[in-house]
Amino acid sequence: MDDFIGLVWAGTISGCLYAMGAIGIVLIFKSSNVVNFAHGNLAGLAAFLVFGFTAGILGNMAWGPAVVLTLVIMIAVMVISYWLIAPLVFKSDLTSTIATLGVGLIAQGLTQLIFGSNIVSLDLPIPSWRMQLGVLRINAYDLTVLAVTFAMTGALYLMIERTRIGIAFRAVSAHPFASRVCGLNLRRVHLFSWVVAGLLGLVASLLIVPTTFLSSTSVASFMLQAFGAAVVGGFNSLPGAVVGGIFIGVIMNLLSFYVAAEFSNTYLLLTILLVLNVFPKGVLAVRGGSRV
Amino acid sequence: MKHANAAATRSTDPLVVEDLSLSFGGIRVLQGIGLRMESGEITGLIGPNGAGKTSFFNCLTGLYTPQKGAIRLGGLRLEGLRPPQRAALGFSRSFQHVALCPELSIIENVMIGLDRQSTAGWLDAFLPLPAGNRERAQNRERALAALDRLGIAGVADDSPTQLPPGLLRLAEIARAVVGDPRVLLLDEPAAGLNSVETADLSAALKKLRAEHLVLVVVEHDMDLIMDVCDTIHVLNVGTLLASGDPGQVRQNPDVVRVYLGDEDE
Amino acid sequence: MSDVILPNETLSRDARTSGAAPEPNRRRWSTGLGILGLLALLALPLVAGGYWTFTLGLCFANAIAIISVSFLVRYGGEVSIGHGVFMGAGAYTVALMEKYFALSLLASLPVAAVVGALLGLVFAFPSRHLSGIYLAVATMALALALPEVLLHFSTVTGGYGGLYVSLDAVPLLSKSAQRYYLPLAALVAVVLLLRQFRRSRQAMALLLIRTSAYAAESFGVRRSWARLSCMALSAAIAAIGGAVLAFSSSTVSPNSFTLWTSIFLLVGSVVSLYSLSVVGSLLGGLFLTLVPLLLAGAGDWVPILYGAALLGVVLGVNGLPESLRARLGGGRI
Repeated sequence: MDDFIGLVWAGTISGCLYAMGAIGIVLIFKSSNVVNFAHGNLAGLAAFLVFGFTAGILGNMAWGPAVVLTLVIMIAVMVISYWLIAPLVFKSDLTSTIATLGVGLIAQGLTQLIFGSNIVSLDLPIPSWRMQLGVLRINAYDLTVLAVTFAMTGALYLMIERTRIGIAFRAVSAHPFASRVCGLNLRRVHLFSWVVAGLLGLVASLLIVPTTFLSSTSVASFMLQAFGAAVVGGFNSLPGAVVGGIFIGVIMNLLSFYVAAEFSNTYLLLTILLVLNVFPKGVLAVRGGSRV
Repeated sequence: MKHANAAATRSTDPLVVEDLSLSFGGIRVLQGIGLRMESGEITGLIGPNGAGKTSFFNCLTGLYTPQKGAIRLGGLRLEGLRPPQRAALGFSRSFQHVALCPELSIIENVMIGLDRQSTAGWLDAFLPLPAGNRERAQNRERALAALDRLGIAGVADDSPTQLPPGLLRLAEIARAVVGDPRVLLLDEPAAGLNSVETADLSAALKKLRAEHLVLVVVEHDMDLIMDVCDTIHVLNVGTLLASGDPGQVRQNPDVVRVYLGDEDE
Repeated sequence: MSDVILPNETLSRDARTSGAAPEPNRRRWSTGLGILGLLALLALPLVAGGYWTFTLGLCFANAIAIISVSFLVRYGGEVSIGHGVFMGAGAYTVALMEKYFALSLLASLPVAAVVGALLGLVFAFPSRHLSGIYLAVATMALALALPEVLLHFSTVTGGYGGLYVSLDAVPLLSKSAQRYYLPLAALVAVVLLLRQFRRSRQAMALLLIRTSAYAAESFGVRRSWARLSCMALSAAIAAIGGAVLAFSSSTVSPNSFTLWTSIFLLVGSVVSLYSLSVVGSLLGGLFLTLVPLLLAGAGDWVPILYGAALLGVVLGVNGLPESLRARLGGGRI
């Protein structure tokens, strides 16, 4: 039973990270009906940039400046990525999605070209503190993840509910054509969601690194779970992404421990198929016209 | 050749609707509709916008399931049977927005109407075996005959993307009749057609009358309905307003009132 | 379902297309070119060296796998980034039948096709109601799950190292000649079978249900039948490609059938404009096979090039005028 609680806790923590990745995917999907298959590779590139800036390959900065510089670069990268597929976005959802695969491949290649295919470790500036809460072992990393997730989802929620661009986002997700008729600039909303998704991806990938190390493929593999989370939660639902993320995190942890550890992707496949058979559009799917 | 029509024993049972009621949430779309659509006749279904014609039509085709009432073909009860199952019973239909495949030629589109009755298996699909070739040739013959009945045999090998809507509509009807259906449901066949095309359509429909066929046309175009139909049922706000032959319906004061100034083309 | 790279399926009076008359001419030209090309390919080993015949053999195998993805797009309207799995199933079938039964490709190829079809059905059944991105994500999960399964049963599958395929299939030809001509024969056979398939009632039903599901259902064609058939056939073709690849390259290992493999198959399929012909699929296959070889020293450029090619083709076709696009992609299969 102790194992169980510990597993659920650890699963919830990694689930928060999947949730952040999933939110990025869902943001882009809700606003532009495109599935950004490049999400994992772009997030990986971002993490590597931070690594490069702090570890001497591209510079020898301290953590803060490195992250800020990467943030700026990632905004540019996301804008360029969107710009590349922009001509397709209004014409065909599936073609735009295929195009994102192209962007992802390029990002993957760039990462390998600049940083090689080795596995590197990236140390986050988190104190190595831990405490025992009953049967639960909590450390600073767990709390950091929870805090960051809470902060970012909270900020995103406020942004979507309160700011003008957030309202525009909601309008566009619900009814793109009507929004256009009302004079909203769809491109601006798309860019908003792409940039925010990119930033969420950067944060998520930096936080995964302590658990998986950093290689040219590790972040992309992580993002598969995020996709699973988005699918399970309902591709159209931001709260669904959070629920899906935590669900996937916990289930994967439990299955890895109680059944066998080497089948994580197989579990994901089975989970996706199972959930989608019971809830065809995801658990918290938002009803109403998807252009898929 | 095997005809898979369950009722293709040339029976002349009518398609009967009894006390049909359909609601969506709190909205009652159809209330207590009862009418007969006879075999060997062309039956028209008209009514102003919002009368429930489309919903009624969708109940007949199996897209909607009514909350109350029965739909009977002879002794068979049909509510709850989905479109593929009704197809097995000999139901056939056309669509308001032409539903032909642009990647197939016209005659190939029509041949799909025979798919249910065909027996060629997967082996025949990949290899040019004699039995498959024979069935394919026979189906092509039947499809050509259907196109001929509709007067458009000349466009058999053309692509739907090159033809005007009037021709496409006729091709769709050809697809619907090629399999010798028991029940043929036409959904606003004159929609989007000009007057010449509508005249062609009228002529074609009149030629489709057959002893064992229940032919139902839902339409807005009054000229077409009055010209073609033997019996007309008028719907209004979900209930049956009037029934009769064209002359009776035209003179019915309720119908006139409902349609006053409302004859649209 | 999807309108991938093909133009919108609107039947408009104004659609400019080539009339019925030029069609036979165009067909004659392409058949003629095809035959010429085929003769050239048949004669190639007489003039080219072993390196080329070996590479082209792999290329033919990849072309078959690319056709399987294009088939799913054309007839099913769906995109898969998991077809590497079916390819792997075919490849491992050949290797295992050699390992346990000492049977050569000639016997194991049909078995591989059947195994592929069955696996396609097994995946298609629980996913039969999924479409678009949901299906694409499921195929992605499938592709990532396969290496785990292969590695788990490593006593049978040879684990990381994989298995060897070395039996001769045809007694009289040299090994290198077999590795060239058998894949070529398989490619031509698949293309011819698919051409015949296009004339069948099943193909017509599949094409109609892609355009208008309601219409097809009204004529007795069920959506689940359509999905299962498409997946099974597409998987069988991919398995044939994998079987031939195993024979051509003499090895099978989990590295050859990763998610990247599946994504690259999609890239090849897009680059070939979803062609089901020998020429089109070969172009895609050449692109897939040659690029890594030519960039052997700079392997990191491979994904960049693929990505750029994918974007280039997709954006390029998108930028073409409607009529040209119709000729390229949306015309007769």
